[in-house]
Amino acid sequence: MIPDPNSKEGKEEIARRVQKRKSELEDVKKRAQNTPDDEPSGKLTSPSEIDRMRDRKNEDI
Amino acid sequence: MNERRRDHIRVEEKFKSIRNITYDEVMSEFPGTVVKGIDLRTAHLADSWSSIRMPSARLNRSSWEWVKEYPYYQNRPNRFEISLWRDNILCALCYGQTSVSGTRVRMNLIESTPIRPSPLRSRALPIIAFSAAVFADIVGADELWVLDPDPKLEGLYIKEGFSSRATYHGKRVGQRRIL
Repeated sequence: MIPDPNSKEGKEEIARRVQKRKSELEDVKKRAQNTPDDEPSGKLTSPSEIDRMRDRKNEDI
Repeated sequence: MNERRRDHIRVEEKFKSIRNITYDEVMSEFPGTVVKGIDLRTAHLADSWSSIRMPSARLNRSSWEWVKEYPYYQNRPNRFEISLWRDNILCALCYGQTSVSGTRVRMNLIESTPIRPSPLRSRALPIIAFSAAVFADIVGADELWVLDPDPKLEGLYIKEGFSSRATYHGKRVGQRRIL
C-alpha cells in the first residue's frame, strides 16, 4: 500500500521506509566516489524499438 | 471534469509528492548534487550529448531519444523519473515506471554524460539506483528492475546489487534487485 504523503500517518510511514533504505548509504557513497571518471558514459540500457513501443502501450508488464 | 480525469490527477499528485520526497532525501545525502525530475528542456539537453565526440564517450549507443520518449512518460502518473545536476550541468537521467500491481519498479532508460572529467564528480549509477530503491520502498514495491541493461554492463549493475541477467515477464531481459 502506498502511504498518503499528505497525511501525518503517511508521512511517518514514508520516513520509516526511507530510513530503512538509508542503512546502505555508506556503501552507496563509497561506490559513487570510486574513480567516477571510469564509469561507462552514455546510454546504460538498450531497449529495442519494439520494447519501447511495448512500454508505451502496456501499463503492467 | 469526469471522475476518471480526477483520479488521474490525484494519482499524478501523489506520485509527484513521492518523487519530490525521493529527490529531497537524495540531495540531503549527496551535497552539491541537485536532483530533479525531467522536463522537456532536460530531454533536449540529454539528446544533445549524442553530438559530443570525446574519447571517453562510448560509441556503442542505443538509438532512443529522450525528447521522443518524454510525452509518453509524462502521461504515466506512476513513473519514476530523475535527473542529476551539478553546477547547473545535467549529468545523468533515468525514466522508469511502477507496475500497476505496485510490486515492481523498473528503470527503463538510463544515460549519463559523456563528458570527462565527470561534472557530477561522482558515479551516476549508484545515485540513480539508490534513488530508485528509495522511490520503490515508498510505493511499497519489493523488486527493482533495470530492463534491457546493456549486456556489456552486467557487472556494473551487479555491483549495485542487481542479479545477473534474467528474464522479465517472459519476454524481456533485465537485472533484478530484491528490496
